[in-house]
Amino acid sequence: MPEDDREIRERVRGLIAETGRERSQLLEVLHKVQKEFRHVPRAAAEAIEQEMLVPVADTYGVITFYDLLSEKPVGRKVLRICEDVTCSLHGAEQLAAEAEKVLGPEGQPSRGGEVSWTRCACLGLCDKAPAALYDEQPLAPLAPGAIRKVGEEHA
Amino acid sequence: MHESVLLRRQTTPALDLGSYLASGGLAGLKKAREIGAAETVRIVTESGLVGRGGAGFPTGRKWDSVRTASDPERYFVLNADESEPGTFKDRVMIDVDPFLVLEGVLIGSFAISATRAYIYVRGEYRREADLLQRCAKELEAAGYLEGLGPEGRALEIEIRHGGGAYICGEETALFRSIEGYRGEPMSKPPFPTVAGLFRKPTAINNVETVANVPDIVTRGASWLRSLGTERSPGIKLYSVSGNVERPGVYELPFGTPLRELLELAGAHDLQAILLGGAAGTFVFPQDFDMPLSYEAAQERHATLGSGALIAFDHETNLWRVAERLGSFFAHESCGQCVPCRVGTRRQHEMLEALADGHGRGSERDLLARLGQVMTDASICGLGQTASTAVRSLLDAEAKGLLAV
Ligand SMILES: Cc1cc2nc3c(=O)[nH]c(=O)nc-3n(C[C@H](O)[C@H](O)[C@H](O)COP(=O)(O)O)c2cc1C
Ligand code: SF4
Ligand code: FES
Repeated sequence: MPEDDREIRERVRGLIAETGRERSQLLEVLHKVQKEFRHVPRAAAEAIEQEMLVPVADTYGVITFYDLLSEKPVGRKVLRICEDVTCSLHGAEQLAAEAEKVLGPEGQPSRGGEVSWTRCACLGLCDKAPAALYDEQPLAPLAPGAIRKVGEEHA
Repeated sequence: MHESVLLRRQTTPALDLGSYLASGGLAGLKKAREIGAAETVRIVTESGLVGRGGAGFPTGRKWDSVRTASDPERYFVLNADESEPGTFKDRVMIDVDPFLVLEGVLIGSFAISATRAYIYVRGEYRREADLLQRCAKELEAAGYLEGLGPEGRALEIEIRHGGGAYICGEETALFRSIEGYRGEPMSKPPFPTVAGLFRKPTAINNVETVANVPDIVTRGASWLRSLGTERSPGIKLYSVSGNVERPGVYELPFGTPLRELLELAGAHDLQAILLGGAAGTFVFPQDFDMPLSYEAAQERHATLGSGALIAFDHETNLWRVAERLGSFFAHESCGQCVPCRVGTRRQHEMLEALADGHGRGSERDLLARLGQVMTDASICGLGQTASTAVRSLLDAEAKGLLAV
């Protein structure tokens, strides 16, 4: 779904207007851009440079630092599977293998860009291990069946 | 049996202002307004409350330095970044009593006369961030933020969403993140109380710390001191997970034997626990009678950290656990200092070899030496503690305590 760069710039200008132009709003702006475009496109970084006076290179420095922001598109819905200590005691590795089988390689959107999955660090849901987030909502405890359902949802 | 304080609304959470008020909420804020900022800080200092985010710094002293700073612009920051592996008590605290947390923020902001309060919630806690946002709006609409700021102005509250980086829980990294930069820690001094967020005097506190404040102000400093031990007054939340029947958050007075917490959570026949999160230490059954207090932990070269406890049965390969921790640190190092950036990677590689059982024999010695270098030469707590658990495991192995 390639978007016209001019449209992107226009839309990002709108997001900046509603969030704030100060440098300290950068992360909040980037969160909104990520949510809308599933990554931070180059055109968005350019709009940020014009409106917030943050150099494009600087914005990329910020994007690459934070796991929830990305340079390349992720799925519209992201399945984050925790592989940290508690969850690995409860079978996180097998769940990641199941995700790979059902949804394809880690980090690559499948189902026409609808879904992608990734491993992640502790989600603070260890009491419900093995834990995952799906589309920002806790999916815990995560069962192989739930991963298959995510796949079928976008069959 | 300890009667819960922080989690008292656990069975019937007060998720709107009406029910919070009906269940005795905001009494602490009312009292703080009556007695004034200086007296509020004095009570918190006298109570002996120390930060629950891991570093254990006295909260009253922190507030007092910001309160008496000469710069009229100052900030209160709530650290809800909770990303220490095995830790989820702040999430549960917010879920069951968001207004109690916010009341603590209001009292703290009033006590230091904050221009603005920032609430930094880890990006993965969407639900909690939304909940706090909605509750803060309710408080604002009902006029409770009026007069809390400098010169009787209303306090402003801003919710910020983390970007999925553990290091942003470190206070100076968190400030950089709010300011719109990569979350890279800065060397201290200057300390946040002098030059914190936007280089202004800043009081930053953990969620659990501020949740203690309303009751301290209402019931007095001696109330907190009536709980816990002489050197660790009060109560603590523990996040218990792993090989236990009832994982969850438990509230206990300091000084309670570790064994009691393990029984509450339904732990049987364990090989070991990891106490204090990724930066914590392994504790073996021979030490399960230790009291859970800062001083008792210190005596055993352990740490309570943020109160995380992960339990392992006899089938668990503890080197595999260490490998997971190593992977975590290698991924979360911000990369600013070489000992930490390179050290955490090398550490992970060696832990992988040990966990897979094809080490070369030199790993143990190297891990110990590397750990020392990272501890000595890293600028922030991440690098300084990235080898703590590993070194406690090396010690335990030398004593023959490992099952697998
Ligand atoms: C690597 C690292 C991560 C940290 N993560 C957190 C965290 O997630 N939450 C927190 O409250 N404190 C965290 N801290 C401690 C904070 O730097 C700071 O001490 C704390 O927020 C102060 O609040 P307190 O005095 O109420 O504990 C972390 C420290 C380090 C070194
Ligand atoms: S010790 Fe590690 S995490 Fe801390 S500042 Fe240095 S590189 Fe970054
Ligand atoms: S270890 Fe997986 S949620 Fe904490």
